[in-house]
Amino acid sequence: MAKIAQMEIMGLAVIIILLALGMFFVAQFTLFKEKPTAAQTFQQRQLASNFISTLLSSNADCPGSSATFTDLIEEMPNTFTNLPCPIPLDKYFESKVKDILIQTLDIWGEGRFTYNLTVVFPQGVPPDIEDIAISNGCPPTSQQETKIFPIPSDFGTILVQMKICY
Amino acid sequence: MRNKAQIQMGENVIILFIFFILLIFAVVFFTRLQATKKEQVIGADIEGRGLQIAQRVALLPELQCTKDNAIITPGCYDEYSAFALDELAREGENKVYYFDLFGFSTVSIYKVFPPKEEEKPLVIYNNTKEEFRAIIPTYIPITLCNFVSDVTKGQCSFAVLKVEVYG
Repeated sequence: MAKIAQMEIMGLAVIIILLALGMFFVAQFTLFKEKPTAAQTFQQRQLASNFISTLLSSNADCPGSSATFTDLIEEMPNTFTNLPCPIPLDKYFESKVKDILIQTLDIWGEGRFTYNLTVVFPQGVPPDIEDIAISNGCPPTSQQETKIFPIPSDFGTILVQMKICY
Repeated sequence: MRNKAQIQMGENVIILFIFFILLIFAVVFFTRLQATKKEQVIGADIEGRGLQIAQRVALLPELQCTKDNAIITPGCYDEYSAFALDELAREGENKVYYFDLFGFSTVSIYKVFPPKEEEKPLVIYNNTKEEFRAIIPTYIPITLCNFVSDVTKGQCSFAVLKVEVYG
């Protein structure tokens, strides 16, 4: 009889220890988890807009020209271009934007920012022109901030979209 | 009888021992919790100050691209004005004025694109604290234009405004 009671007490003790451990881990993950501060949230919300407006008004580094990335995007659907940029323009745009992203969003905030930058062409552009997508993986469940900049062209409106996930 | 009493004493001692161990665990846990929360509050405060300074720099009329005394584009900064501000902010009365605005911080602009070899960041304000626990940087993408190289349109680079606040 005494042995059975001892066994039961041991069982209860094991259950209590397991519960305590469980509560400890839950507390570890909920209480010590860093929540984004108001400043971080504000910065993340502004980032998509700041980034894309800065990019579009910056020089595209085409030899002997002060063409901006906006000029480059406008010219992409055209078969012939007067811009002295290396062709194809879409590949040039993609490689230069990737260079910029590597030096900025990829290293800021210890990998806190993931992004999705797309250039969507309207219907009616030549068939060899495809939409451009540059991404470092935006989890679908994350919070997102999206900014869309329309650029007028001969074929309709080209949409440049920047999505920042955090 | 005496043996039974000894066993009961032993049990009591073990129970007290376990109780104090649990108490120590609880104290350590809550101390760590408080320390983490305090660090988070300090971090948030420094970050907030960084962002505040970044917004002040972003709206400084001394730096904005202007034409006929009117602002051309928001988010556009004049490279030569930034050069001038570095010297201006170090002179006598101006030093006090800019300290009121930027406090203990370092504000710099570095060009990202088009790439140029060996180009140092343009420091527009530098007031380092002698003793600090942390530096929290804030980054804002900006357009840095050089209107001397191309008067009509300007040669604009993709640049980053970096504000480092000392906490």
